[in-house]
Amino acid sequence: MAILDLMFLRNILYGLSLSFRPKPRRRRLAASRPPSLSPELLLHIFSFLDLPLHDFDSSPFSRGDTEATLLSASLVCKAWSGPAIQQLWYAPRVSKPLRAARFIEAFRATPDLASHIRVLQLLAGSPRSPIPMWDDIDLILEIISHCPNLRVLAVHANPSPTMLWRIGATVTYYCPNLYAFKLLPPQDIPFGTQDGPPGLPGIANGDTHERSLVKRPPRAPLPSFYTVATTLICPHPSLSVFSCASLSASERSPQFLSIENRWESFALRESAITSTELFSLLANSSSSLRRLTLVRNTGHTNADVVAVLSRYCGLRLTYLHLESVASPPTPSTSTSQPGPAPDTPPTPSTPSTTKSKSTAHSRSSAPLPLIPAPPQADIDAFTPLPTICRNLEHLEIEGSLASPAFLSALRSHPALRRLIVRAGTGTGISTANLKGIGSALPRFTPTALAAVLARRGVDLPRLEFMEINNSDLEGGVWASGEQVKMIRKAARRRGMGVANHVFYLKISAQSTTLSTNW
Amino acid sequence: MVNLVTSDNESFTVEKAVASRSVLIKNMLEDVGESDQPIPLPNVTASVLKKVLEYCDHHKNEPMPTSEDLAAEDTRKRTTDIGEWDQKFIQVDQEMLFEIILAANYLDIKPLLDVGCKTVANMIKGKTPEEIRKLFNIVNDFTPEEEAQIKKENEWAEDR
Repeated sequence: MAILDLMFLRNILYGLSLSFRPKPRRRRLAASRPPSLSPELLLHIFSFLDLPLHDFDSSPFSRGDTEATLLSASLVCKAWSGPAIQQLWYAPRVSKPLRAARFIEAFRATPDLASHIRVLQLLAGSPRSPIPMWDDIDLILEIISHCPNLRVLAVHANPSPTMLWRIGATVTYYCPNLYAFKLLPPQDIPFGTQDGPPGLPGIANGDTHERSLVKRPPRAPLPSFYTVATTLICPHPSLSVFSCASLSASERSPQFLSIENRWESFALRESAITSTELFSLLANSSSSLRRLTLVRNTGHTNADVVAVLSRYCGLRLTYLHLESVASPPTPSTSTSQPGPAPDTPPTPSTPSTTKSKSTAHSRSSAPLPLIPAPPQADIDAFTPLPTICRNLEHLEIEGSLASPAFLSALRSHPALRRLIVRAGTGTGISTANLKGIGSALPRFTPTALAAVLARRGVDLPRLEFMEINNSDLEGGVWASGEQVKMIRKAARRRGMGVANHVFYLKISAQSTTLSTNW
Repeated sequence: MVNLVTSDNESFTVEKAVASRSVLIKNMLEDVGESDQPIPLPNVTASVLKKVLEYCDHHKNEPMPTSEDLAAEDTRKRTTDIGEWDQKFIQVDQEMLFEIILAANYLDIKPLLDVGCKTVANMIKGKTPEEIRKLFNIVNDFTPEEEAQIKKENEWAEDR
């Protein structure tokens, strides 16, 4: 025993001596030859500290400690300073008033610094704008006009058509390399939106649950798609990524969508877009579109989307996120005149959504989305989707559409790496109507999901990440404890880690069990 | 087989598949065609080339990054995703690390260059200017005025 204790002590002392030992050799070697890297190589090194360009999809983005490290690097020596500042100005995060004031001061003193900017996010144009100075359209345009290398422009604003036109004219003239434009309502700022990066970003990006846990305040819709397109998108020569939320209905013809094969990525949330417009958009992007996000829009059904995808661009898509309109919990909607459900699930209808009513459902006699499940036609139409979109790597859908028939077709999908099933989003389930729905919940799907995971190497051979999100149930349980156990067991059998949270279940090739709150 | 001659006149004979991981050598071989002539590498020493060839040999069977990959490269950058073997491979002293970066840049071996650069990026993460200078033995050549100017220009990034 005493010997063991002694050995233990010795080990501790040895460990301590190791940890306190200085590192003279390495330092001496370095001292003999300080690194002399070219500015290009230093910039390449610093670029690894930052987010990849596409990850700025999340808006507002967070650069974490990147800025602090880049600030340090800029003060190391003259050789490091230039490349570090260049990387620091790559995506200035100006989401706080003090930051914005200092940023503008620096910009005014040295406007050339703006030439480093690749990603710019402006929070403007609303009385509730958190940074009042961004309401100054002239200032915004002045900054944009100094950003010849701008690639991503995100505007959190409720801009007037004139303002959009001026922004459009400025970016078309001064920012020929711009490829992504995002227009988001100012109220979205605290919550962010996420298109998800292309390819497989890993579980670090699976933060969708946090966003959806927060109740969004009601908000006014932004200008119509038509206005945005004609004033800003179409005139620009190279925009290929478009992301908008809360656009109002177009009152004009959808001819603006006939730009051939422009869109590589298209995301529209909580906006009004008719199936005719959708058809025009997808048909004209049949050889360019790779990523499509249509979430809680009014004016079309999922069946419409699948029908168009089967004819155009379905085969080329690698990213698809589909959620249908959530109906409000009150049954009165089904008796109302033809019209779409309001923009956001828990919020009551805003006056301006009435504008979209004329276009929303007039083109077909399809029934309004029922509570809680989407129309059977939608569910049936959804079944061939895995066969149509053979190259999908990312699929995000609402649980009520993931019928057993659909999941059975999904089983043999050769490319899918990331599957997210959002329970209830499209079913309009909330605390208010949860009790009433009870047995109507699509409880079969978790079991079918577990079956999909069952055969390692046979079913979904490339699957690396799966999330089952219960968050929209606001505490309700979508999958029963037994079903969760089945899913966990099936995931483990194929060597995937399982992370459990109160509202969602994450299954990934790398993840470890975090908690067991089910 | 391909014959490579380093700056310190050492010659290495390696498989074509290994040497062709370097886009510079690959292009050279394509231009010259089959030849017994040694390829001189005046910017690389024997000790560094040995290490670089070790990397190339380990990765010789992997597909070469296509131009499409390089275009999409911006989307894949992450400091954390250095492979296990690469991580062990790059555990070298600082001088060698920088030599590898310079050689990979000269020889145009993008994946190796990225491994080296990611490693340096990881080393400076979260450090103060003084800590970075100490780490790499860099002399501060700023005047106090210059330093103040840089701080002023980038003050916006300080408010977190």
